[in-house]
Amino acid sequence: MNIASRTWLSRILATIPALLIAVLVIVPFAEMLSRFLDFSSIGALGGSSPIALLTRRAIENSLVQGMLSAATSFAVGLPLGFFLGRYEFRFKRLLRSFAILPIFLPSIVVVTAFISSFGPGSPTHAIYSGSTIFSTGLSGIVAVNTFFNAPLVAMMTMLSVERSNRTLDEAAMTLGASGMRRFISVWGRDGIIAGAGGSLLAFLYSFAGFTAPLIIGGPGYFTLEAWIYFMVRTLNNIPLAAVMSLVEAGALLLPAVFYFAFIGGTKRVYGTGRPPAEENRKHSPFFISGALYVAAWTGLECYILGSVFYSSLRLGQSSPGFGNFVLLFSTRTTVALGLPTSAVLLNTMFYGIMTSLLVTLIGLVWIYGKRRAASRALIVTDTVQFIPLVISAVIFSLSLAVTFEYTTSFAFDWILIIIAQSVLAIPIVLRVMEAGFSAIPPSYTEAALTLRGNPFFEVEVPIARSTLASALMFGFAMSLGEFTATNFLATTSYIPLGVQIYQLQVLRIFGAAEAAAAILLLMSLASFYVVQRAGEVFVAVR
Amino acid sequence: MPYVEVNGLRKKYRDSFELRNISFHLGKGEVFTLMGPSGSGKTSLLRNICGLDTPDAGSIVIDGREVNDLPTTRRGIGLIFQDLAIFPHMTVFDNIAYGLRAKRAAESEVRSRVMELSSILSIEDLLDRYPSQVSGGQRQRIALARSVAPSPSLLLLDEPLSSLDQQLRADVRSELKSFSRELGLTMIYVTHDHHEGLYMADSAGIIFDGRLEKSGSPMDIFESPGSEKVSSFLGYNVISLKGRRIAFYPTDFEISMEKGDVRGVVRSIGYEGEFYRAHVETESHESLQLTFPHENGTVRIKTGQSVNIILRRSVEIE
Repeated sequence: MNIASRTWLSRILATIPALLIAVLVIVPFAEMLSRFLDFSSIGALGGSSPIALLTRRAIENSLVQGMLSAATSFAVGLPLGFFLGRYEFRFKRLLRSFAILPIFLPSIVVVTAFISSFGPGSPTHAIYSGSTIFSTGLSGIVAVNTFFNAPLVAMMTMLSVERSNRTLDEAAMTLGASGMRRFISVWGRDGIIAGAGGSLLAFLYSFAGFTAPLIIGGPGYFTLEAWIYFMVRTLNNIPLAAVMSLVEAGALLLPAVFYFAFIGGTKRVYGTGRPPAEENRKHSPFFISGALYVAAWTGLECYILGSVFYSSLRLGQSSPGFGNFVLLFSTRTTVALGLPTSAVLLNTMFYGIMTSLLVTLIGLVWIYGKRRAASRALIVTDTVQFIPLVISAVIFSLSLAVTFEYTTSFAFDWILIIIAQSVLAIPIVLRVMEAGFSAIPPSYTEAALTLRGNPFFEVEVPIARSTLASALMFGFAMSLGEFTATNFLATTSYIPLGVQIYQLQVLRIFGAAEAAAAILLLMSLASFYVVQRAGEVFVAVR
Repeated sequence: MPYVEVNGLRKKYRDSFELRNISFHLGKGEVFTLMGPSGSGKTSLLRNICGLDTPDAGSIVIDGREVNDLPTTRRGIGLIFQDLAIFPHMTVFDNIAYGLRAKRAAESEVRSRVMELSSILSIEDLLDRYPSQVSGGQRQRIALARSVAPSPSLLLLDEPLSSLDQQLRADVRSELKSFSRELGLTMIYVTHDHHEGLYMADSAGIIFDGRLEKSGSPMDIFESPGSEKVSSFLGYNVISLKGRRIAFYPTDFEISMEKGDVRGVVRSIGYEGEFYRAHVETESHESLQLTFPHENGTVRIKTGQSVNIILRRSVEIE
């Protein structure tokens, strides 16, 4: 193969994720709109019918929940990020991993955990009955969203602060800048920018929130996402759902574009300075107050996650033990769901493994092409990868179902679920892979080429092997945690654990739901641990 | 007949930099050094020769065969990168053996070649170590052994000594020269240090803004720099004298208190160990650097003092 052919092949490989997104997201979305979009149904939104009222309410809820959650996530996450990014202390790595853990947890587990932690019958409720504000209504939804998104803000802030230029900080110090001035002009500046970027993402995720509004909110608190789901699944009003999906996509596009413009357009002060700052002023009031704040956050995390195990083991009740687990695996549950829990566990593992393999394979092909094809067009195709942020999971799965499910047998639902989970994992897993592979200097690849070797398999992949392990585990964790699209697409034989928890709650078999949540939480914690371990043994060039 | 010929090579890059009509040649077993300041196109030229970039026009001929359309893997050209690009996940042995194994050489042949080269380069004790466990000079030798192991028809070296300190740099430079002579390597050696470039070269070229300004034997280049750019790069002072542009080396002068070729004011003077260095501004506001040994006696000149300079040797330039 000559040089020109190789370049073209590389360019094609580098566009594969974008092509997949186009075929599996954009085309089905357009197909769904072309089939069902009926602008005459917009008229129904203006009247005083229950549907019109609930639709207008859903738009309002999305905005309110999005803005409140973004604000609280920023307020809670920013101090966490500053403390963890700025100070060095023993067990920092462990604490850092634990602080950002909620990002990786399945939404259904977190919602269940909030109900167990603050709902009626919880230990908190026994002490203070007002604690139910964190498990019901708008306050409950915002609390859940904040628990998810504050770690995202913290992580982005922390990474930015860690990368801030130590030399510039020292230069400012020698020029007589006060601590506050250095914070504003050097190391804190990037942290605030990154944290603001994180809160924009929090807005996106909360605007299109699904699990919390569905389970602890109810119709009065439905977001557009939950309302579209309800319109399709319960009211069978697909034309209005199509209109609303267009509204939601438009509403998400604006902040998403703003996010990329904001992140790309702001000048950072990271640089070529020495490695991250090591601030060891452990007796300063900033350190002590930061440490207390982080301790409070991790204490809250321990309580919320511990409550899942607490309630699954019926601790504090008249008959503590494994009764909920026995119920989960009992014939009663099998009959109620039409599928034994062992099969549900197998489904969960199967989806996790297949999704992680598929998305990592897509990532490998993409990275291979991207490292070899220098083309400005790739900026456009890489941007396309973020479309799943704009076309939300319910709309995406509705489009996927409209395009493929009704033309194929329901027996192939499992394929659609794997496709859906993989597509939704692409923006994250590919970023993880890009970060790992970009640390490999191009000269290594070129050296292997001049020596007639195989640069990709002999040099790049071995050097980035722990990045690959991380990508696989991220894919697995995202499959475990994905609830919205999977719940939409899965029919009885193909449900995974997350959907099972929801169905058990709908059927009011709460004990089994709590036991299932405990198992899913354990699986998520295990996969998170492996991701962290893979990151620690990362051998790429630093 | 030349062993390596580059004829009319052109390449335009996105940042509007371009290699402009570059031609040179070298014989088998010769070393051609390519010198020039940062950003002049030295590395770009090497990348075109070894196939990492594709020229827009021109030809590259090695041993009578045009290699323009051959991918890098099939050109049989070795390249030592500025950062050396030693694979961090392989031992020193595996790094050196990499190119031989890629050629599917028998393992016994691989072992004997690795042992032979590591013995010549005195790195046989390092073979089981990882690159992170060896010193800068040793890394240099490993990179050299790795590139030479598959017996490339041409070896390209892209500022391979730039990361070393001055003393080690001189040692490795000397080892590299004797090693290349011992193995009869045909090399193109890129550097921005004209002392290093002239020392290594059988023939040399100086590149500016993507254009090969001057080529020839090291002595030709140094004795007749030809242009102002080349003269300045080689460390000459360039001044106007009696309507002509001339270049003279910082050591080729005498200070006179009476009459000289050039008159100027000493702006600064300092001791650098082997010699003194003075900066002088001429009456026509041209800046000169002059170096002279301690015993010269001229150290009595002081900052701010007017001096007359007699040129012992100078060359006329364009």
